[in-house]
Amino acid sequence: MKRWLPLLLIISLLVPALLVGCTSGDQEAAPGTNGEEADEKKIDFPTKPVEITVLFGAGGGQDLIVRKLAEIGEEKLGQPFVVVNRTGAGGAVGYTYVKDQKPDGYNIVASSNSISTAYHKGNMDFDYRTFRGIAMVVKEPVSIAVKADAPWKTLDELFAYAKEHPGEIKIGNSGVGSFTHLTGVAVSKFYGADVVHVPFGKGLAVSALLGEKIDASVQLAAEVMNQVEAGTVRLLAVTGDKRIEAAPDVPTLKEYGYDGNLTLYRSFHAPKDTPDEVIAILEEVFKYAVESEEFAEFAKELGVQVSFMGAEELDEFVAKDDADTARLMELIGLKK
Amino acid sequence: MKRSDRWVAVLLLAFSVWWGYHTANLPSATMANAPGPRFFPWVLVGALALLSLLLLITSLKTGADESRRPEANGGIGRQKLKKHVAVFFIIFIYIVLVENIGFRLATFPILLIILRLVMGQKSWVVGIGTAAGITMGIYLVFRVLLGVPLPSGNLW
Amino acid sequence: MVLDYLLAGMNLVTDVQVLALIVLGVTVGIMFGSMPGLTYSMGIILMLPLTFQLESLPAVALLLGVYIGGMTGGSVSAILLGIPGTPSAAATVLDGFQLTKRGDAAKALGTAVFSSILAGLLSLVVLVLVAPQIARIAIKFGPAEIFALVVFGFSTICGVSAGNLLKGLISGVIGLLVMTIGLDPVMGVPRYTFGMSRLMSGVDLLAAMIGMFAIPQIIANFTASDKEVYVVDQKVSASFPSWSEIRRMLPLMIRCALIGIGIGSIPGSGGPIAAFLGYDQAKRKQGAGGADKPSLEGVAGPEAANNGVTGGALIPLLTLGIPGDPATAILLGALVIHGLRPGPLLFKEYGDFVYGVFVAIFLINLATLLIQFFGIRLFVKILGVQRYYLYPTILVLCVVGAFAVNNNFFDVYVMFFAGVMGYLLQKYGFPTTPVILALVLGPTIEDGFRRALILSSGDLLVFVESPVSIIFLSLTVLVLAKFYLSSGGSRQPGARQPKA
Repeated sequence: MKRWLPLLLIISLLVPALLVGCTSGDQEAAPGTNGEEADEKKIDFPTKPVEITVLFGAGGGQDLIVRKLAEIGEEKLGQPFVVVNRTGAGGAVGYTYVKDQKPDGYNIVASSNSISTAYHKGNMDFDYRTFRGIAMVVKEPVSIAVKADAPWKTLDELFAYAKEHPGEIKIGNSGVGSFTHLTGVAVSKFYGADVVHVPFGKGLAVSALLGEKIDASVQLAAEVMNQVEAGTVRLLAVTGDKRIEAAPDVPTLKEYGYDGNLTLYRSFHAPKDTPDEVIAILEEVFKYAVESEEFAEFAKELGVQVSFMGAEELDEFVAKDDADTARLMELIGLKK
Repeated sequence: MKRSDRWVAVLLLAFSVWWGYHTANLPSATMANAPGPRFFPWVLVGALALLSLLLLITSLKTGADESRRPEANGGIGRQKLKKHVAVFFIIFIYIVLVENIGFRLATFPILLIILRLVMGQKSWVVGIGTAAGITMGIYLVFRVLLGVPLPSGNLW
Repeated sequence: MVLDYLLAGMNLVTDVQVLALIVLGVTVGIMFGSMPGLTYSMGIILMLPLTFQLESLPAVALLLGVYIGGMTGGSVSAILLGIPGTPSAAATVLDGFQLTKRGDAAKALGTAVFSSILAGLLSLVVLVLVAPQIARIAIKFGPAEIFALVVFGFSTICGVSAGNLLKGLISGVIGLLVMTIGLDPVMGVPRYTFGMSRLMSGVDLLAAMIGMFAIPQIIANFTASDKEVYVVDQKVSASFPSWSEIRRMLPLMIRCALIGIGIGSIPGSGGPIAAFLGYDQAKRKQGAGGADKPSLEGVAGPEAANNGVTGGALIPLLTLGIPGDPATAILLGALVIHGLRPGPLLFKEYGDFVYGVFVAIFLINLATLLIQFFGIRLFVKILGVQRYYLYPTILVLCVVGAFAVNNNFFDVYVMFFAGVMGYLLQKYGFPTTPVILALVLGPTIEDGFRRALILSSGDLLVFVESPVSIIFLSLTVLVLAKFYLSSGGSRQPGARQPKA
């Protein structure tokens, strides 16, 4: 009996495995299942799941947004989206992976300003031109915050103090070369103040602010909003063109006189040789998902601004943004 | 102390020199007067060099009385060692194959080789059955049941 | 007041859907935790899309089920196969696997489950009663304090060096060297990448751990003749720890659970330290002793500590909205998706939700206890499986698992080379556990040290400014001194006297 047990086990495993193997093979071999739709388009896309590479960890802002859009967009796409986190080296790991895939639209990347920061920092030897845009989905303002009981009520006050006490004010960000770091440096240069920028891991700057290890934090607005609502942290400024919905009293950097945008964008990109027709199909899917009621609500909970932009416009936008980022990083001395 | 320790210690010393050479070539940027990216590596190189020197000294001091036993290195005979190296080689080939032709195609033949040639399974039926069973079983549990992506291969 | 909330929470939780999700979550968690190569973090990520469809409480209950179930399940492969399912279970391997070799697998597994659940429930009590107070202390842990804590964590190297401190230290330093490969954690400068862009993201801890523990065993078993099978095929006794044994270990379990809760509540400190400190406690107080003298305490200590971490990590998450580790970061995401903003307001505005979570954690611990205890009889059957089936399966699992960590094939090569390293270290008598300890703590120790100095503008006094870091640093000195004295200051191998 004992000798037969493993064999039985193997057979019981083999039979369903072969069955599953066959059926999944059928699916792959029969692309015309929803034939009507396929006839309308010039090419047959998609015939299998589309994989989205997320450059940062699960549960983070980028990841949640992508997973939500994937969930909404799937119906429209007619095939599942598979979300895979490929993290590391400020996004370079994921970008490198997607770049090396076949440009057929089945491998796309959830991109952001990290395409520029990772390149200019020297983490990868190719830049945004390796990819082409599909759609921009959201913009995220960056916030500058101090603890609720700090003496500074405005950004001007904070930096006036910083100018009088060079090297004393410590501002936390999410890591050297991260977008929040660039923002922090841009603002301190704007005021001409000598402050210490302290790089923290993801999200830990907030905890350091609450623990009074630093005087101010530069973080994505979404990452500090619950502290703001709880009254433990005070926002001094946000980036972007207009004030944010969740904190209408907080002035933008523009209102403080800073001329520049400094907003994080999140978008989808594909390898640059991906055919136009495929891009168009994916663009349509994401347009549908981004403009859906469901996503609007989701974005509000998350504290990000829904901001759709089509493929063509996005390419121009990224080119300009990359040039801006390069200039900024040159200024800080981070550009390789 | 084993006799082999003195050679290990010498190798470790050489390694720390080599690693130190690369450490010297690291960028020396600093921030706010705090130690830069080279500081911690230097501490480690120093620690490794010091510790392997200590190991060398202790093995030289205590090694004399045991040095006549050549079989002291882990009790592994020459024959076995050869076999170990072979298995490492097969595993490496397996990994290269998975990367290139994908999990499902690579796993079955390699397992069959391991079962028959390495582990000495005599029966073809059991060998083929086990190799196929493990391949399918893991595919089922991971891909189908849990939805974990498996390596699919570069070539197709 | 609290009672009202508890009742309301109870109502939220005790419907059939939530109970079913808890059982599902725990089962998935145990599966992911117990299979070498899969971790509970992976399980949580895979469950995440599912939670989009659910209400907030069922969603959180499901994810917490995977988290707690997975943390407990990590001990299974650590004890039975000597391959930890998660980094937190690495310390459990030391005594747990030796117990299995002696035929005490069931007892070790039973001890692991019991101490895990005890710690889980204890951490729940702490969470309910004093969460805000603990959070206020935990938040004071800046880089300098975390550095001191991690240094203290390193002192456990003495205990896991299997009688040869010098070689243990060398192993530790090698582990730290490996962790410096890749982008430097503070400034993002590439180090030792040798021109390979793949090395930029560094060596993945999990991939390295799988390789280091599993490959040497695979090699040994592949090449073993039938006479010298490495895994015991003696009849596995199905005896659970007796009540007197449990009573004996109870103080240790509680102490280790508290250590786990404390460390878990400090954001960014890294939970696995807790397990090693727990092992150290067991070893020092009760005399657990690795290969020479494995004891149930050596399983109970680390398991109580790492399950204490699960509850501890929820403290800053729920009270401040700050995730303490990758798993709770995903939980935070799930909460935010459902419009819940963890933080001081959560308790005020969603009191019944919070207490619902508490009740859910209680039920999850119960479910884990039941499923695991039932599972033990099943798990130990693995030992009866012939090596023809078992070890080829483990090899395939290692490859699949290393790949699944980041969906990056490079990690499979990392796993392989870590395996070669592990093999060589063992062959020349170097203990491998210090390497894992170093891999786990390496990035944190450098991070903490450099960040603290950035904050102090290079002033080294920052490390002795706060009482917390003074305490940890002097504890470290104390441990080292004690260890040195008890080993008689001699470097002879095996000269370390096991202490009563």
